[in-house]
Amino acid sequence: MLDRRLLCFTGKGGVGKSTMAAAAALLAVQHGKRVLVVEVDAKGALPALLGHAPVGYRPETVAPGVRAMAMDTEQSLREYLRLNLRVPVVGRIGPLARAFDFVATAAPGVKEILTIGKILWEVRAAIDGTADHDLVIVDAAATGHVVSQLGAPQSIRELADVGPLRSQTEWMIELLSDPAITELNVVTTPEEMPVAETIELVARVRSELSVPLGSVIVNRVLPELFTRADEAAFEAMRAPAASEWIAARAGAGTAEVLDGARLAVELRRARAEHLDALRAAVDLPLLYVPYQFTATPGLRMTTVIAEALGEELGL
Amino acid sequence: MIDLADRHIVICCGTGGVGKTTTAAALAVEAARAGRRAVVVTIDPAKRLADTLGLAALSDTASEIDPTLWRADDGDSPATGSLHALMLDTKSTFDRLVTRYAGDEEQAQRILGNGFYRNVSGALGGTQEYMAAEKLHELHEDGRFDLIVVDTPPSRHALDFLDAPARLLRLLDNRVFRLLMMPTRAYLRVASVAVQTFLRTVARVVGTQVIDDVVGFFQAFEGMEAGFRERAGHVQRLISDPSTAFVLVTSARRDAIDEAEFFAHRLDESSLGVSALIVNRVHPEFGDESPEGLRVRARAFGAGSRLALLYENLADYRQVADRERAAVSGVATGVGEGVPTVWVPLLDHDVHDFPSLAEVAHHLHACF
Repeated sequence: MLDRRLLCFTGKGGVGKSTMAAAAALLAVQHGKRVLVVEVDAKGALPALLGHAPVGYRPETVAPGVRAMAMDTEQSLREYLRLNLRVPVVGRIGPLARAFDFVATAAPGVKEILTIGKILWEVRAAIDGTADHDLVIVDAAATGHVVSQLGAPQSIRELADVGPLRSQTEWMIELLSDPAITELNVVTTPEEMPVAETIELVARVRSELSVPLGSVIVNRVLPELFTRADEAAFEAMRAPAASEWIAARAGAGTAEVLDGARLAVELRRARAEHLDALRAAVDLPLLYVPYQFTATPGLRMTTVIAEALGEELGL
Repeated sequence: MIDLADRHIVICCGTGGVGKTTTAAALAVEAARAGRRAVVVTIDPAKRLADTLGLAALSDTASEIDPTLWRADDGDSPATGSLHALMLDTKSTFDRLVTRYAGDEEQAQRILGNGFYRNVSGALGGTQEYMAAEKLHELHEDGRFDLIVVDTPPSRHALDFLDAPARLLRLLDNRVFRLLMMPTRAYLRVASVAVQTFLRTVARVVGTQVIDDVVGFFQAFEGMEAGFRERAGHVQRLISDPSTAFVLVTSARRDAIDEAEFFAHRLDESSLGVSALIVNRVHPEFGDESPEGLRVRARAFGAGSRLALLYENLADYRQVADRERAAVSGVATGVGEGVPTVWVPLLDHDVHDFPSLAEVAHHLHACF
């Protein structure tokens, strides 16, 4: 995974995309890479996961070896026009934002191409060795939107008859399709909707895009603490004599302890079902990251998750 | 308790993955059981929930659900209650709107066949949000329902739904739009130098086909703006009517709570209030002993023993429960004083049939 130049992380909202992107960045640094992390749906959450305040469009160092930037399509448009078309006048035609909003509505794919274009620009710079990073990690759009984002160069090629954008799409598609360079990873949790969306997304990526898929990262996997035999024992422990014996030794009642065990068993069972469905439908490597009972989101938790991810990857 | 007795419309908002769809469905079931004529609009239900609601095929029109499926077993449900469900189909809702306001069939066809329209009427740029609001209006006019429960699209900031009608009005008011309403190419003659530069730049970037499609669309649209404008105004008034309730749904996770607070703030700015806050899938508390205390007890049983595992497990869940309660405790103040808050416990099974929807509804303590 870490030998690529572009790692994208997608998944249903709330499953931990940003956390996995941040953890991958920490892993890459441990393996001697300099990383640029791009937050696409900028909520400012990603830098916080590396213990840093939110960042803007201009990359900032957020952790040793890691720079981060928040995507801003308007800024990307300015940069593109300045670098490629030499159109400084655009800055002077008044509120660019309003006009840009209109174009983005009018011409589908414009916002997406500006996002992926900027990302691939940075990837190319990494390959050429002209950048301050070796690897670009993207906290990409959610499952519902990522296909149109990564597919933007393809759509633009079909849509735009002429124009500089069309000629630009060739190298973009080439980078995005190269398994030695690009890898799209899908983050999920062992729950119904995230699993359903993952299965659907993998199928869509395969049929609509040429982007190579990496792994499915299953986040918040519950530990298997108890066996079926244990469950029978737990029910027996609800008997008055047993609970008195345990209370005498532990100093606390058994009701809560057994309720907690029952929840753990039931949740684990429901999730195992969804995991089975995922395994049956998706032939990608699955990486399992355990549920974090004791940590709150932040650098410490990201470090723990990076470690778990590294183990799963055999690093 | 959530009092929805006087409400005609209930809008469920919140970020993605917090259980908005399930909450909307549970509220509609409960309302129907209480004797209301309820309809629920879902955006993207889980497959099994969709099957339960009879939404196996993408059905853009409300279909009735057999009362024997959702009526309470105790036979207490008033006979007046009915339950309908539908799944939002953005494109056909938009198509119907165009057909309705087009001067004639020819104009409608010209718009429906336009490349720009086909792109916009898909899932682009807030169209889904606008069509959800439009659907609300359609159901309101329908007259069959006295309660409309709406699930909202999983927008990044969960508020595009509110903005949608205003955005359409803004688009119609846009200066560029007005210029594009002029006969083909004439816009380049009369447009100011600045706008010319702008349009040329756009054409250079995306090609002339896109510009031609856009111009074609707006020309075909001519004469329809008044109707659309009026309609958008109606939708906006409906959303801000006092009989419309906003129910904010969140999970106990920090990121979802941040979004909920942000959304409450936005509602407040628009002089709309939050009627209720629902904190979904909260872990049970399992007593009040501290996780640290439980871990001490666990060690007394010897590392790796079954009993130690049991106490460690409880300590883990206690810790999660504490963390969630700490995360949620601030949200009440962030959302506003006096907003009724209900907690729905994490269930150990998925919610996709009527008994489990009723179970969720039971925890919502909603009264209709």
